[in-house]
Order: sequence, then C-alpha cells, then structure tokens
Amino acid sequence: MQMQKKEPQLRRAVRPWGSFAWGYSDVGADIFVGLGLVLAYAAGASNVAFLFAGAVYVCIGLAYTELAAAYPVAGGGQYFVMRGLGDVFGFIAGWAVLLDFTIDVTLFAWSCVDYLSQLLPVLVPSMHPWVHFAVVLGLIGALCLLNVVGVRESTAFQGSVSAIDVLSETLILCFGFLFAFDPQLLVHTMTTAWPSTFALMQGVSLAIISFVGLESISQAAQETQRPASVIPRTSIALILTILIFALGYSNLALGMHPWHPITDAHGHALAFWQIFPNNGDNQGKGVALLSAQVPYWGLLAQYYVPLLGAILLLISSNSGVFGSSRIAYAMSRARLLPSIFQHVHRRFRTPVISIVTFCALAAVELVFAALPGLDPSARAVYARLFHGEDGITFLGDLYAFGAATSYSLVFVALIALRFTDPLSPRKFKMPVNIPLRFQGRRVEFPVIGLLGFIGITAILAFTIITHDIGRIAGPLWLVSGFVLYLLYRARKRLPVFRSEDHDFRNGQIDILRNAGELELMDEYIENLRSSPAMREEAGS
Amino acid sequence: MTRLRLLFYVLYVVLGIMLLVRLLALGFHWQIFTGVVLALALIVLGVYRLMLYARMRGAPRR
Repeated sequence: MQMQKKEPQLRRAVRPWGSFAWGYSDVGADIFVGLGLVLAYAAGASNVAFLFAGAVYVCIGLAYTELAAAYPVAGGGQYFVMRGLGDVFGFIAGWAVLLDFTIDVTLFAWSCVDYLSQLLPVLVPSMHPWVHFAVVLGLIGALCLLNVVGVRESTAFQGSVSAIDVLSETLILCFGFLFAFDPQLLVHTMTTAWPSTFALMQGVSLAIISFVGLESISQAAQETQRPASVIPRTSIALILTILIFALGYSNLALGMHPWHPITDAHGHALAFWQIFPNNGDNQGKGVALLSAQVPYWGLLAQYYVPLLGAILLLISSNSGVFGSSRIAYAMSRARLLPSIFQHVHRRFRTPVISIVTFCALAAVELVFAALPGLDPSARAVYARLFHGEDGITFLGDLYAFGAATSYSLVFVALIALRFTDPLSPRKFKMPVNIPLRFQGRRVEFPVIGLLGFIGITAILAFTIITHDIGRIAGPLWLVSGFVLYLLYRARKRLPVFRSEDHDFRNGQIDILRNAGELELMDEYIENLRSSPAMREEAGS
Repeated sequence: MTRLRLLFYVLYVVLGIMLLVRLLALGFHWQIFTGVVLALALIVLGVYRLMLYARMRGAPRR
C-alpha cells in the first residue's frame, strides 16, 4: 500500500484566550497610534469620527467572524475574496493587505519609538530626527532578522501583554471618567471646536486605522482549536473591547480637565486635545499623554504606559513582518505571485525572500515618511505637493487606503459567497438577513454586510479626497502590483483575467476536517448530497 | 485569575451605568450621543461576558 505524503500543517494549539490575545495584540495597538492623529484632525468631533469608523469596524468584525468561522484558513481576506470573487480580485485584496502589512511594520515601529521618546527625550523626532530615523530603521532591521531566524513572540507572551494592557486601559478609563471627566466640558468642546467637513472626513479616514488588524482573526483561525465555536465568541469580545477603548479615550480626551495645567509657548491654558494639531511629536503617543493627565493613576501610568505601549506596538510591528511574508507565501502558492516568494531558507525554514522583500519595502516607506523631518528642501517639496503632511500622517494615509480597499472587497466577497456557496455551514452568521431564492436555492442576503460595504466605501472615498499622499501612492501601489500580476500570469501561461479551476468543495471538506470541526464537515457533505445541483451533476 | 476577570466585567457594567446616569443627568444634547453608545457598549460587554461565564459554569463537563 502506498503511503500518501501529507503536507505539514500548522499546529492547532490556540485556545479561546490565545485567540483573543492574538487579535488584541494586533488591533489593540492601533488606538495607541490612532488617538493622537484623529485628535489632531477631527478636534472636537474626534469621538464622532471614532463612532463612525467604529460602526463600520463592527460590521467588518462581524463579516470576518462569519468568514473565518466558515473557512478557518490562514489566508484571511485574500482567501475569502479569491473564493468569492475569483483570482484577480483575490490578488487585489491580497496586494492591498500586503500594503497594509508593510505600512504596519513602519508605522508601528515609528510609533513605538515615539512612545519611548516620552521616557527618553533623545528620541523625540522633531529634536533629533536622525536618531529617531536610525532607531526606527534599526527596529525594522532587527524584526527582519528575527523573522528570518524564525523567532516569534509566543502566544503566552502575547497573552500576558494583552492582559496587562486590557487591565491598564480599563483602569485609565475608570480613573479618567471618575475624577477628570466633565460632561458639560464635552458638550462645550464639541460645540466650539467642531471641525470643517474636510477635516472631519480626514479624521474619519484616520480613525479607521484604530480598527485595522482583523486579518489576525483569520490568521489565527488555522491554528485555533475548534475555530467555528471559538472564533465567534472571542471575536465579539474583541470587537466590543476595541470599540470601548476607542470611544472611551476620545470622549475622555475631549471632556477631561487635565490633572496638570497645560499651557502653550505664551503661557495660555490649553485643553488636552489642543496639544495634538500641528504637533507630530505628540500625535504618535496620544495614549501616553492622556494617561499621564488622568488623576491619581497618572502618577504611575506616566511611567509604565509609554513602555507598555512601546511593547504592544513592537508586537504589532512584528505581526506586520510575519503577516506580510505569510500572505505573500500563500499568494505565491495560489499562483497569484511568482514562486520566488515560496522560497524557504534551508536552515531556518522561513520564507526568507518574502520577509526580506517586504521589510525592504517597509524601509523605503520609512525613508519617504522621515524625509521631511530630515531634510529642509524635502520639507519644502512636501509642503508644496502634499500640504506639508508629516511622517506619521503619511503612513496613516497609506494604512487607511490599504485597509479600506481590502475590507471593501471582503464585504463584496461575503455577499457573493452567500449566493455562490450557501452549502458551507456557517456556525456564525451576521445578524439581519433577508431570505431570497437564487437559482432554486434558499439564500440569505446580509443587510449588515451591505451597510458595512457602504460605510467602508465612504471611508475609502474620504481617504482619496482628503489625503494627497494616499490618493497618489495608494492607487500607484495597486497598479504596480496588478502589472506584476499580469506579467507573471501571462509568462506562466495561466488565465490572466479569469480564475484557475479550484476544487473548493473538496478543499472545504479538508479545511473542516483539519480544523476538527467534524460535525460541520458531516453537515457540509450532507448539504452537498441533498443539493439539487449536485444531484444533477451526479445524474449527468 | 477568574475572579479578577469577573471583577472587571462587573466594573464594566458599573462604569457603564455610572456614565449613562452622568450623561443623561445633563439633559438631552446630541453631543452626548457617542458617550451614551460608549456606556451601552460597556454594559453590553460586561453582561455578555458574565452571562458567558454563567453559561459555561452551568454546562456539564465533558
């Protein structure tokens, strides 16, 4: 009897808390970057910006929960879109996710150094731009090396950092709302400091970066025990926790009396949120500055929050290196990218080409982001062409563009899969569905999926309208990737605009078997057997 | 550890109720809308996690 060679599989060792921590260490770090940026642009409407982006994020979270529970594979958004809409759109979604992951590496390493600058003034970007640049570049290089060698922070470490952070953020909110929050001040700030429509759109498009990282839910799916049961449970808690922190911090920032008086250069008193506009140094460390102004707890928080933030941001930056190489590897295996991205290092058994390529791209992005701070002539060019956007806003723009593009496609894929693959069991379904009949089958149209699509498309439009760099560099990234895709597919004599034949039915059975979801696998096989289309196929 | 987590879920609910009362005491202003959503999210998360815990404790062990 011939033994069948079995491909190595990822070990399913992630349990409910591990699944939560995996998502939290990625998405939870976003508010550390997003808070200062949104306060800088949306001013008195920052909480509204977070609410709008948060509502869209809830829809995205529900969509990812449904898809990751139904298709628990590590490919994430790229896999869902490829399955729902075909190879071309699968490539576009994956390429947009790759942009986000490379930006993730730079943006979070940048912000990590910003948080450390709260304790080490030598790292303040405006005072020592070359030191700041060198340290961020060094961090990217170190993460690249660690990922090539194969060292990755363990789930236990991620779990501990996540637990400490949830604890810390909850305490900051408790002390803030108990001792510093004044609802009348909130109403006053929102009335007197309401931004222009343009600035509000900028704020909303930047607020979405506080909610990026849901890819990690599906990344973790392939390593989670009983994913169809565990993922919905942990995802809902994750979605609510992140939403609470974003809304909590923004409301607190607008309606709090600072513990220590804040003044400008002329000695005039400032409200807390006023320290962010036109101040790139402060924008990168919003949570550290806020926590230091919370009565009593701020005494301790001013020292540990910068450090905790820096660790969380570094973990998130590392997940960018890891995620980009893994997505590129998965896309290469699906013949959407050249096979060179599958190359595995002989000794370390890691996708070395993918890791080095995307870390190099992250370093290029860093150069573009840091240039205005490093060179006055570059600053003048940026001021003329891009309204003087600073480094962190440059990165935030591109991050928002990549996220909005891939999420838009995921919503369309979710709706398409409800019609084209109604037989796959969905242990979790987005609420509010309209039952319909499609090709003789009963399907359910997801209303929240449609609302989410409208919301994320609006955010994509806001990004394109309001961000000069995002408007140019984002589409340029997509076009250059698409040219690469066309050349590769044509050279390999693969269908260029059509999809290859994928055996999704047997693939789905394998996915559910490998996930240990045997009841769902039986249900799926039964659904296939009783489906009229399958009976017709068997008859012919 | 479980007790600490339970304590935090209770804290979420208490903080949510307290915030809701403080905001609504100000009267109806559209500016408090996001704060009300925050308070409700705190209450929902706290109650959801407490119910999940209660259900798991009530479930027979395999």
